[in-house]
Amino acid sequence: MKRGALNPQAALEIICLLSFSGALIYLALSGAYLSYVAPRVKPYLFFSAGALLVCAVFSATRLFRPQYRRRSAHCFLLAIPVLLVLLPHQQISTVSSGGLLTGGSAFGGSDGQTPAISSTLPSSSPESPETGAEDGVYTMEGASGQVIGYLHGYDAEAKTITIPDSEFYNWCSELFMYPERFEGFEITMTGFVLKDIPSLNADEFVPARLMMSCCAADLSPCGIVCKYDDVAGLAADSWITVSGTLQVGSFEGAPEPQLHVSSIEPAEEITDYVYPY
Amino acid sequence: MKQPFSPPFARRREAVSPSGDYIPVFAITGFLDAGKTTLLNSLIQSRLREGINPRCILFEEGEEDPAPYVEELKPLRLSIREVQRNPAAASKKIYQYLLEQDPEQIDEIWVEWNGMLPIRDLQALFPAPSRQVTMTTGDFCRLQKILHVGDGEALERLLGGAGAALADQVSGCDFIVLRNARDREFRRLRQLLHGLNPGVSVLRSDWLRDIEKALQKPRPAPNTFFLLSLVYFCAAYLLLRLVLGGTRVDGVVNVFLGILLQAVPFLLIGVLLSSAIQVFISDRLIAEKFPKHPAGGFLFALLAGFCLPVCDCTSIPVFRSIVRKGVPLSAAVTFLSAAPVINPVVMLSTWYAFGGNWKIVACRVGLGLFCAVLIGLSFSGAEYKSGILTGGGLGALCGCGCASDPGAGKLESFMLHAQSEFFSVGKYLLLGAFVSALFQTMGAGLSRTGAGEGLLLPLLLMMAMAFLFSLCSSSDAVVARSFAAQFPMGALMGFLVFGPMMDVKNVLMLSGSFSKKFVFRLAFTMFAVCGAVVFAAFFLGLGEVLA
Repeated sequence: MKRGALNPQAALEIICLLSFSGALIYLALSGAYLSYVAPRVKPYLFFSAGALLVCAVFSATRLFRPQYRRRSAHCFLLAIPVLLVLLPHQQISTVSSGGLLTGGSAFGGSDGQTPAISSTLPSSSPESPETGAEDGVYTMEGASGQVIGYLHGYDAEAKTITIPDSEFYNWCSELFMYPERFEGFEITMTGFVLKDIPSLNADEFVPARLMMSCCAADLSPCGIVCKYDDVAGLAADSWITVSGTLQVGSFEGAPEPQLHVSSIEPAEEITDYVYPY
Repeated sequence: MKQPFSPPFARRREAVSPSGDYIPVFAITGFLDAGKTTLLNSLIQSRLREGINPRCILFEEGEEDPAPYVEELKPLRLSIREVQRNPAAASKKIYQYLLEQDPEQIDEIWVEWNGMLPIRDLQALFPAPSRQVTMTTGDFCRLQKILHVGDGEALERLLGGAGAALADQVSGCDFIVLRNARDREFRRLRQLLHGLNPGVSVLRSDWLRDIEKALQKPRPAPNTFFLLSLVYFCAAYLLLRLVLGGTRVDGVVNVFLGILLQAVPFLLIGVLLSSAIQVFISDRLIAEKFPKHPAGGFLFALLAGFCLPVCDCTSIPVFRSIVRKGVPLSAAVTFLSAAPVINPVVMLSTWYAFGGNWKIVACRVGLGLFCAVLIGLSFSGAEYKSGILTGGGLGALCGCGCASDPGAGKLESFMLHAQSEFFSVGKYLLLGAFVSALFQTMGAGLSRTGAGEGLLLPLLLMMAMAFLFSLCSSSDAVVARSFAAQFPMGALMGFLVFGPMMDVKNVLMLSGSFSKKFVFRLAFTMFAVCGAVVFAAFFLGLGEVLA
């Protein structure tokens, strides 16, 4: 059969499908997707890119098939997200910048629950304090004592923990799960100042990081409550490095780790989110 | 014999013909007895009165009504068989006829097209003009407008039964003229037709002036429109960012892209599943194998909901296709309500979020199941069995064009269907993601207004938030937990049970293929049932069990 003229609708569809799946692949490979969705979504991004590529190949078979009524509006579905990825915008870095779903208790488990963590089964069985397998390394254990991971910045002798930015979530959850194990430790951590929310007292703030469990719609802050006399003097959302001694306090009847602040220093903003799983 | 013309040739009546040098071809499609001949006759009469010199080509064999003005022009008649058996000969015949009539003298060509032939065949007979002389009609005429005529009293029945070619004509025409339909009936049919041809303008056959105007209106250039819109979009975005300041806009963009990137894979899984159902499972199989007993239907729906580890973006296309396939509405609604609440992924994420509290998981799933069955039961009434799809009774047709291609293989129609469904459901996802991103960024204060006393108010507040924020059911548990300090457990449970079933995004996605009335009733029923069940359960002391 004679090849007809180019079908503009099919051409537009192919361009949009290719650019959308290109954008997905770019986001996934460059790591830029982490501003929008959690790491576990990555394979799904590749799946979508693949499926849309197949669609584009299929549309190519219609590229020279005449079509009387042409439409283009449906392609906005693909074009608008691609444009938004390309157009300038910044990642949400603190609570007030994004207008987030902050119930106020998202930091760790101040509602009395142990925080969510994928690799650790919440366990109530008392265990002996864990010493590092090697210097500066703390071993995380599962419910039955199996090793499930290592955390860094730990010094059992000096009783200090300098929480690395990349292990923020795991350390917080470990502190929440076994607060008495770390009683008296000097903890140093970096986050933005979260204060003036219903579940915090006037002398409390949280050096918080934003936690994404699934996508940017569920960003919520997490961190450890700090006791500090001059909370009013801290600018909300400013990035700080806090050091303080851990003491087991209580929140609504449940034990909760609290830092009694010894020093606060301004810090560089950390652009990464925290991903629980 | 005359030599073929080589365009562009000077034409004396350029002002009359919008296509410039080419003779415009106006085609009237429609089923037999739809009123094509009558309409053509009145249009020709009006054209003659204006001093225009038209020619007619008729592809309809059956005599409809007397058409004196058309007959006077000595129209060329072709049978449907000639077009189907030997399109090349038919094309030649038209070419010869027009040459004999002297194209220099013709202002317009009017075609009465047969209701059994797809528009593709019409295009093959009137190919788009090209630079070379092709010895076809494309040398001196150009298909200008295709209008479809439908008889309001028969159209729906015909679309449901008669055929693919008719659906193709409806979905591929520039505008539609309806006969024998007024007021409510007219509006209903217009909605039905929009299901097949989105945004098409529908006119009444007695609005002759409007029909003529529509015929002369230049055809839109979709790609130009598309590119221009994108440019405007970028400009508007940058301006908005300048005016409102970066942070507000960035918040919306981040949340919007987050929801979208999170939902698109699941939407794709959903459309693949649903078009597999549409293409590979016959209506008969469903009719024979689907459990006859209502209880069996519910059990089946719940099992299917459990086995498909999907969220609401997936279950909506699947819901749409099983309703089309004739699964009883009550069972389908049960599936829709249950699938996003009771599947394993959701259970696992709830378990994580609530620190391994199995009681909360069990409570969420149990209440979800119970509500789903109640909601399903409320739809077992007979009055909702039909007319809820915007395609009306057009069970098998979906406007994706797959029905119109009888030659297409199963794989091809599977792909076509999946693609068209992806676009049609996806646009509502886009809108829904945007609306909920907006609500989230602007309405964050809502969550801080506090819970107040008692259970009812916080419960309603949490359910309203679940509705507005459109979180994916696989992640909403974490958000719910972040409200645990301010809201009682009962309110969180309302959020967890109702949220996955219905939200802004789902309402929009459903309204793409279901009637407004049905979507409203579904959303309201879900809200009422979930609210009542959760309230009752916690009023009776479920909260103490969970504590």
